[in-house]
This record gives sequence, structure tokens and C-alpha cells, in this order.
Amino acid sequence: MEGFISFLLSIATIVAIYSILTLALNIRWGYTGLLDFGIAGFFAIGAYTSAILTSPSSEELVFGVRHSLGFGVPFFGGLLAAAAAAALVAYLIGIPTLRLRGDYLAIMTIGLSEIIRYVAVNEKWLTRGSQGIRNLPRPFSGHSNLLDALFYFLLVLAILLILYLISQRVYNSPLGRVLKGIREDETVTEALGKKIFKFRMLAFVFGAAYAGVAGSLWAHYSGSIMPHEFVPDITFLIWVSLTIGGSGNNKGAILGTLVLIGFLQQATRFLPTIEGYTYLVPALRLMVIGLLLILCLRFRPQGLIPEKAVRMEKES
Amino acid sequence: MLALSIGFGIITGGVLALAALGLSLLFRTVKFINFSYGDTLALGAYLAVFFNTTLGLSLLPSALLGMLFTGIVGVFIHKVVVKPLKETVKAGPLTLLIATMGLAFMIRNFILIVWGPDPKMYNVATQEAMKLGPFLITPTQLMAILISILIMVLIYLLLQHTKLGKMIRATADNIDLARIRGIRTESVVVWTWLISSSLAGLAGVMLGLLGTVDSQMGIEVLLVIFASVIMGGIGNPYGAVAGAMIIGITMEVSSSFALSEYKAAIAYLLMGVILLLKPKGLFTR
Amino acid sequence: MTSLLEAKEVVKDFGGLRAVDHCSIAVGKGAICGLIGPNGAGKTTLFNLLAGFYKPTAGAIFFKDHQIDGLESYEICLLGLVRTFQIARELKNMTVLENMLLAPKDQYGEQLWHAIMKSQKVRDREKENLDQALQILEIVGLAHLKHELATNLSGGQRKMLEVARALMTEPEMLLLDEPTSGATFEETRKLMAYIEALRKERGLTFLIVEHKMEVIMNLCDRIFVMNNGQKLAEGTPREVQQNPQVIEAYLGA
Repeated sequence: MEGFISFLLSIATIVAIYSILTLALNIRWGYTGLLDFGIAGFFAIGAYTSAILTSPSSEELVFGVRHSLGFGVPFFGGLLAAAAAAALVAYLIGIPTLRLRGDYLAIMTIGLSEIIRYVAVNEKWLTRGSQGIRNLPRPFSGHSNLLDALFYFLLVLAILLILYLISQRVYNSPLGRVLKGIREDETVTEALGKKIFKFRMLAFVFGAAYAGVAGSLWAHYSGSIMPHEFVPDITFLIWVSLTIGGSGNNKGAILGTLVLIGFLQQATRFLPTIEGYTYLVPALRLMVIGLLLILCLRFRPQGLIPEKAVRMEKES
Repeated sequence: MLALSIGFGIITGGVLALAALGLSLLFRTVKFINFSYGDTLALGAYLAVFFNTTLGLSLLPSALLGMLFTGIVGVFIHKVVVKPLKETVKAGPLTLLIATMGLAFMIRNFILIVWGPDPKMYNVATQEAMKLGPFLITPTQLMAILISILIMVLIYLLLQHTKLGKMIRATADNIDLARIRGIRTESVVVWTWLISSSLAGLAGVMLGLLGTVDSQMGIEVLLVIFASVIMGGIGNPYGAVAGAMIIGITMEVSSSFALSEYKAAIAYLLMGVILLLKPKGLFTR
Repeated sequence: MTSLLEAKEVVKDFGGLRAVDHCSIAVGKGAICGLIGPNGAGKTTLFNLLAGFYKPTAGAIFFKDHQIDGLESYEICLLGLVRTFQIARELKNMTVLENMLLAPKDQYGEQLWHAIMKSQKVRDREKENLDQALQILEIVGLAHLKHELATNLSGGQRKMLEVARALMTEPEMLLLDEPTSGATFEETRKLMAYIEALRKERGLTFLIVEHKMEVIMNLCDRIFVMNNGQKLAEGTPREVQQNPQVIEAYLGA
């Protein structure tokens, strides 16, 4: 029984963390129409920032390179720093790239996320290279395994809830209106006096902060991180989650993540692994997910929960 | 040492140019970026491996068959995915880009399922490099670049001097006008997909010959192809060729200066710089 | 009195083609001016130049004595000069009301912190904007559609929305691009009356590109006629109607 609850908690935690990523993509693509294929990169920045800061200080040789980072910063410090680091990188990258048209931005953001992965692999003095960073602490731990997992899940859930509420606030605000206006018709929105670049940057950076938070939560859930985790596959999964759930609205984002990550990813863990062919089931999964994306775009492009027009309060 | 890098850069560039030409031609006609292009290229490489090692055909027929089947896959993509999306949900270029991303993952993982994660190689005898001026080159590499040049010339002749080529150019410039003038634009689009994907397949085979064939080669080369196409000016196929040569040589030369792990990153950075300074590419028409 | 909007010897070349050839026009404050000409005369290009959508190849454009050629379209809007589009560009998946509420300037709620905090300042401003929007929608006859998605409106209604939305930016001058195309007779009449009223009550200035002669002749104080990229004539409706060159341009085209 305990094993089963443990398993459920782990799925739930993963879904919750990935939901934050989907919320991030929703701000960039769902609200603002920024074609962003680089979420995995900001996820990585968040994870590594938090990992580097919260690791206990150590001094060791990794692949012949001395690694001595580790500042023993407490968990919440790492979390905030992760968000800040991701936001900062987004800002710096955004300055040149957010003026580009949609499809170019897509290409640049993948390139960026791959460059970040290269840095993680190669800059061993910073990231311990492909060995990754291990022994990452979890807050509130030290009790039984089950209780630890429960605490952490509740923590992640609380953060997800806060971020969800913030996203909703933004969506229903004048800011949300401008972002939607940019998505619908950038030319008109600019002609009505809005400085498009500023708002695109805002969406980009804000989304990055969310992804950074998710990265930090992931690192401490996982206990260790390695560069090869942060591949475009993650970006892809988030895209499918958002598309299935309903791009543009946050409930849809979370629902889509639950459906995709929760059921497909984790439920198929029960399928038998054939000896020597361990890559088979994951590959099959991804193929099905790719098919799902195309089918969704074709037959239900608005997703499971379509975006609803904003109702104004206090209407006369 | 530098000469060797430049030499290898030219070869890589030549193969990239073939791929970039295909993507650029497609973009000019269908006006959206086909994200599954890289994995289509990989599929070509794998199919050729199949014909070569499993069925035992020699290299040339394997390559040609790989190219042919890949071309057909391209047409399939158009008929089964792109066209229905455009017609039923009025999918725009961004949606089609996302859909082809889905396709990319499908193809990549299909390759994984069928062929497994271990890299594959063709049945060619190991060769000795010959000295050609300041460059060192194997016969296979020489053949690769010669074929690339040949194909590119053929494509040029096709576009400029044949009826099909004229129709392709007209459709690319203005599809509605072309339709009014009686051109069967659907056929033109199908032909363009066929040609574009075949080029991808051939480029895949050659890339596989120069290096290895592995399941990630698609996504890895895709970004470099993008860099070439953007450098040359999107929609300008000959610019894409030039862009590919520049990127190929730059990548190899910079990697010889001890930045070899960042080889692909150099291409992305170069692309980023071009997008910043001259977003329309270096060689806009 | 210096004009509110002035174009001085403006030239616009597209490659080898000269679309606007040394045009000079001046619109005084409180005037309702018309811009007409046969197809291809360069009206739309001139219009886009004035609105900041193109940069002139030569010449200068001034608004309230600020040089505005070279400014971005949002900057020009913030100065008080707003434009509408020939083919109505309603924000499709947003409601009529949302379209309206997007437009006002200086909304605190557009800043991230304020948007999240939803302070009283934001709420008050929203209420103000809401009231103003409803008022304008009432006048143009769209109030009953306020929660309707903009994409569901008829052609004429969408053009009305364009004008209504532009008014929310609290402009001093409006550039209207064929505001009555696609509008019914009734809608046209209503719009003309509204423009007159806006001028009279709020001192707004208008420059209107139009094809419908009844609208131009009855509404405008002053008309600029363009042909082949150049300003062919200008004057009161009567003067222009009787100008032999104008007659020839329209008949001969």
C-alpha cells in the first residue's frame, strides 16, 4: 500500500512540476503568441542555479577539472535564485531575439536551449559536466520516505497554486489584454499605442521565471540533475500538454499536463520492458504523443478546455 | 592543419548545401518551416542503411532508393498532414510548424523503434585519404561533394529551364496568381515536396557516409540547416547553398581551434548574429 | 495657425516605383478633411506614411509641430494621432468590449506588478474605461454586442468598432481609412453624424480616405485629390467638384 501511495505521490509531484512549465509556455504562447521552443533551456537554468547554490560546499576533481562550487544556500534561496537567473537570461536573450518574426523565434529558442545544454555538459567547473550534480537536499525532510514525499508534493502543489492564481490575475488584467492583442494582431495593437517589444519581453521573462521555479523544484525532487535530462523532448511534451489541454487558458494547461504526463508517461511504466530493448517503450510513447499532437491540431485545435472570452466584472 | 579543416568544411558544407537547398525550395513554395526536415533526412540515411546492409545492395542503388522513398514520405506528409490541416482548420504557418514538430518526433522515434539506438554504418571498405592539393580527401568524400554539386546544378537547370521549374517558381512567387494562370498548383506543391524530401534523403545518406548514422542526427543537423538557410536569406535557395558552405567551413575551422565540443553551437551563434544584423539574410534577392 | 498635421514634400519609393511624389498637405485643427483619388493614386500609401507605417523616402511629416516621420506607430498614437484600417482589423478572439478596453493609454494594469496586485488604482481606471467604452458603444449602436466575439460582427459593425476603438485612445486627430466601406446606408449616416458631433463637441480633427462621394462631399470641409502619386488639387468640395483636372482624372482613369 505504501508503495502505491508513494508511486502516486511521485506521479503527482512530477505532474505538478511540469504543470508549472506548461503555465510558463501558456504565458508565452497562449497569451502572447510567442513561438517558444526553448522552455527546456530555462528549466535547465533554474535547475542548475538552484543545484549549484544549494549543494554543500565541496572540492573535487571531475573529468580532471576542479569543481568547487556549492554554497549551501537554503532551499528557498535556491528557488528564488533559480527564477531570477532564468529571468535574467531570458532578458539578455530577449533583447536581440524578440524582434524576430514568429518562426525565426522558434528556431532561435531551440538553438538557445541546445546551447544551454552544451554549456552544462562542457563547463565542468560550473556544472560537473555530464556527471551532473547530486545529493541535492529537500526541505522538510528527515522523516519517513512517505512523509517526505508527501511534504514535498504539498510544497510543489502550493507553489503551483500560487503561480496559477498569479497567471489568472494577469490574464484577466489590462496586461493580459495587451498580450492577447499582440497574439491576435500585433499591427493593430501597436497602432493603438502599445510598445510591442516591451510586452513581448515581459511575457518572455515572466515565463522564464516560472520555468526557473519549475527547474529548481525538479532538481530537489529528483535529488540529482544531469545535462542529458534537459533535452528538447521536454519542450515537446509541454507543447503537446498545452495544445491538448487548451492553449490560452491556465486550467487547460494544467489539465493537459495531467492527461499527457500523468497518464501517458507514467501509466505506461507498467508495460513490460523487453530485455535488451529498453528504448522501445519510451520511443513508442513519444511516437504516440507526436501523433496525438497532430490529431489534436486537426480535430480539436482549441483543446480540451477552450479559451473563454474574459467576462468583465461590474458590468452595467 | 587549417587547410584540412577548410577541406573538411567544404565537404560538410557541400552536403549541408544539398539539404539547405531542399528546405529553402520547400519554404519558398509552402511558406512555412518544415520542422520534420531533419528527421526526414535521417530517415533517408537509415533507409539507405537498410538497403545496403540488410538487403545487401551496393551503395549507389541504396542511396537512390533511400532518396526515392524519402521523397515519397515527403509527399505523404503533405497529403496526410499538411493539406488536411490547411483545409479543415485553416492552419497557418505557425500551426503547421508545430504540427511538423510533432511529425519530427514521430519519425525520430520510429527510427528508434525499428533500428534501435546504436549508430549504424554503411558497407563500404575503409579507404585511404588521397592528397588533393593542400587537402586530404577520401574517395567517398570526393564522390559526396561531386554528387552534391551535380545535383545542385541539376536543380538549377530544372528550376530555370524546364516547364516544371517555371511552374514551381510561379507558384512560389504568388500561388493565387499561378492558379489563375492555369497552373495546377496542387501538383506543383506535391512535386516540390518530392524534390525537397528527396534532397533531404540524399543529404542524409551522404552525411551518414561522412560520419555515422544515428537516431539523433536529424535534430542535430536541422538546426545547422536552419542556420544555413537563414544566413542565405529564407526563400533564397542559392543563398542557402552559399550559407551552408560558410557555416560548414566556419564550423570545421572553429572546431580545429579547440572549440570542438561547441561545433554546433558555433553554427547557432552565427545564425543568431545574422538574424540580428541582417535578418533577411546575406544574399537577399 | 499652424496645422495640426502637415506633410511636406513627402516622397515614397518602392524599389523603382514612386508611389508618392512630393506631396504636401496640411490639416488644420478641428477640420474634417477628405483624401480622394482614383485607384492606384497613392492615397493608401500617403495614409500609411502619415500613420507611421512607412518611412518616407524624402520629405517630412509633422504633427503638433513634432516631426513624426521615423517614429514607430505606437509613438505616433501616443502623441494623439490614431488610425483605423481599411479592412477592419478587429481582434477576432476578443469581445467587442475587450477590443475597446485594450485601447486607452496609460493603463496601470498593463504593468506586471499592478496587474498582479490589482490595486484600487487599477480597478478605478478599469471602471472609468468601462464607462467610457459603454458610452461610445451606445452611440455607435454596438452596445448590445459588447460581449460578442469581434469576429462575429458584420462588416459594417466591424468598421464601426474600428472607429469606436480608436476613440478610446483619446486622440486629437483620427485618420480614417474608408470607414464606411461595407457599411449599410443607415450605418453610414450614423457614422457621418458621429464624426460631425465629435468635431463640434470635442474639437477632434479628421482626415478621411473615402470612395463614396456623398460622404466626402457632405462631410468634409476640405478635400485633397491625388493622382499618380501627386496631389492633383485641393479645396472645398465645390471647388474640387468643379476642377477640370479632377474630373479628367476620374473619367480618364
